[in-house]
Amino acid sequence: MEQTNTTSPLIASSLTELQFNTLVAHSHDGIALLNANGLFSYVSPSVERISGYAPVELLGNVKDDFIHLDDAPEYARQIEQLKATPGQTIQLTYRFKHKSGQWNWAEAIATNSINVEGINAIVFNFKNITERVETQQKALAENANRDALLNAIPDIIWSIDTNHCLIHANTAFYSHVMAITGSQIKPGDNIACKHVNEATAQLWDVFYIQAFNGNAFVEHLNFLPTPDGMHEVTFSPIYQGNIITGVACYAKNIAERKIADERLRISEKNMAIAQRIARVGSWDIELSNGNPFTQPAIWTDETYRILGYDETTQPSLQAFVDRLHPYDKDYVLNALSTGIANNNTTPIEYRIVQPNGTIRWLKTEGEIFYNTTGQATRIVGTHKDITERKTLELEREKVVDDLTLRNKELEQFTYIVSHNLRGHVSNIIGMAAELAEPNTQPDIHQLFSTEIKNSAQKLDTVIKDLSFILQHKRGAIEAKVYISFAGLVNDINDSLGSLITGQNVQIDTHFEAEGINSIKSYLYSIFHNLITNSIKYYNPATPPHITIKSSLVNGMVQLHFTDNGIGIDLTHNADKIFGLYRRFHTHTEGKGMGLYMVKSQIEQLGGTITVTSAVNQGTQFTILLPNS
Amino acid sequence: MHKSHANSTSAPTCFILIDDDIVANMLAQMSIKRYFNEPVIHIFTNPADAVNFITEGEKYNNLPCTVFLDINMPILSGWDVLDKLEKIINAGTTAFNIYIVSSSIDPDDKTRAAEHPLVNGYIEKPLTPYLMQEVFAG
Repeated sequence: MEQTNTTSPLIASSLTELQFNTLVAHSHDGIALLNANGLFSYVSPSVERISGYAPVELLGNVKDDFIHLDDAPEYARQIEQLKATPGQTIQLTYRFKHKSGQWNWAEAIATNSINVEGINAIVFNFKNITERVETQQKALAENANRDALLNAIPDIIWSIDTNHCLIHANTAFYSHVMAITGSQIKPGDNIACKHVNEATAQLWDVFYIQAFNGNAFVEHLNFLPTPDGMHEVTFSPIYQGNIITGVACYAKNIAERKIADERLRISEKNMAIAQRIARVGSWDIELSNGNPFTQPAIWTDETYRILGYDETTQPSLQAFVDRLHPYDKDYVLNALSTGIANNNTTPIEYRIVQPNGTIRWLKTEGEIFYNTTGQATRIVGTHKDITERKTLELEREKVVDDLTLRNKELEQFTYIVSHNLRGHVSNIIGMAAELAEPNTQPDIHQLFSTEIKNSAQKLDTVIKDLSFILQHKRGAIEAKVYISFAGLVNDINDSLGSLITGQNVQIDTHFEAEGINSIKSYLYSIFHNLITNSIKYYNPATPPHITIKSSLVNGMVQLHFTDNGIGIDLTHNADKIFGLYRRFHTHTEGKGMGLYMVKSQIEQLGGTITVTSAVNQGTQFTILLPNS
Repeated sequence: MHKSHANSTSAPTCFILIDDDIVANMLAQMSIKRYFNEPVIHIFTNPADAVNFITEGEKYNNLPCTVFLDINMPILSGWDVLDKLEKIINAGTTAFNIYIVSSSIDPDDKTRAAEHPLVNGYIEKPLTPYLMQEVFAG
């Protein structure tokens, strides 16, 4: 086509002028003749379309700044050379200024026809190639960017076509091939011959063919005979429309990750073993997002085991709370909230109940993390199963308590022997000595005879009391039965009979807990002693009024005995009230044994008794008994 | 163990008995009367009354007076009485000579009595003329 155009002036003579003009006018290219003086002697009409100038504006004229300054020297050099060589044809590429001021790329074929008669000019045949140049430049820039990106990646990237020939690759690929085969590879080369051996070539072929069949997948392949060569290779088919034209591969060295993974796996396994041996489970709770009770927490295997959960349970603070022993729940939740509020990480010891009902003691320690605004974000800690230690500790405490109690009892028996027994004995000795005096007066003789008998009888009573107490101490083990409080009070009412009616005693009961599983003789003795005490120590101003209430407190039965009697001055007697042979009033015949018996029976049942009272303000006893 | 400050022939001698046991008080009274001529004996079965009586006596600095104090009593024990008396009696100058008179044979009680600054001695019940002789005649 270009050839036709450039030679058109030469063949023009064989065309009619009309034919020639029509050809030129419709040509896509511009045609111009530049005479020896460097002026346009002819421009075709299509030049206006290319340059923006009408032919009349160009004829006999030359535009100084028509050629771009950067291209002007080369352009001038080529034209000068052309002028010097008649008949030669050259190709020029340069930027020219459109009439609008915009720079365009032109490609021109120039022929020196100065010596050709009838032309006598350099024939320019040119076209605007701006679009083509820009597209090329853009493509080059894109390629450069893409290559830079690919080369910046240390991982190996390459693509091959369905003939197993390399399409494109990054420098990591080229270096890798060089390193393992010692030879270079370039785009277009068949990749099959670039493997270490035939076996690996076949292995790779299998994967390439899978990808050619439309599968995208990831394989772990070792590029080297050592573990350092372990790579994760991604195979992705290349599509052009619906047709697969090749495969793009991405290989990442995962040797370090593999080793790290393996180390982590071993370390986690070791930790699990250590936690199992130490019976310590660890946990991690997020506090900053949403409800800390329900959002997922992290537990180690041992935490699951300690709490009695299987691996299907979603770990959460709530799941932990659900295991807390009812008695310890408030304590633990309170320790948690105050711990977070005050960054107090003092360990706590408490009980949990496993699904099979087993009660375990745990010791929990944690560390709380706060953000810069002081808000708690995370709490991480451990649960340690301390059931064995705690059981021993509680047993030891019980032994110490028992020993302390025994010691106190021994002291009390010493006191009884020193005062209650010895007191009567000394009186008998003293009176007997007086009676032996020769001149004893008859009235004294009479009195002491009676008093010796009285003292001997009192002595006998004390000995019988002691015997009774010691028998109870030996703890004749009686079966526990269900005892109705109302029935118990009725029985005591009947047995006291005239004492109740004679003193006009009123007993009100309110048994919210209707009864208890316990030892009946103990309960009878406790109720009997407390009721008779209230009647004995009544306030002469008002008839005795006794109120007995029962309720359930933390699974224990709580009893309240309240009276309107003369009361006890506890400021002086708080430590003595439940002692043996301690009487607090001189006007009544107390043996001083009732409250001692009440307390020791309650303690043998595993309960406690406390008293509040003041002189003339009645007395209230509060008893807590386990309901076994 | 004791001081001697009186003899069987001197003018009326003062005694205070503090014990809730009526028989013991009677025996003590008889023994004192056997040993002293015309003794003045104040008997208190309620220790609180005795404390008040001694408080008054200490104020007016009366003639020497011997106190026989029992340990085992309801409401106020002998030790409680001593605690109260410590606050009102000056051990160095007082005219009250206090003896613990108890049926107790517990060595702890005897030690405690011996160590108490207000207590002059420990007398084991029953109080007999022979013991009076031991205490007051040496």
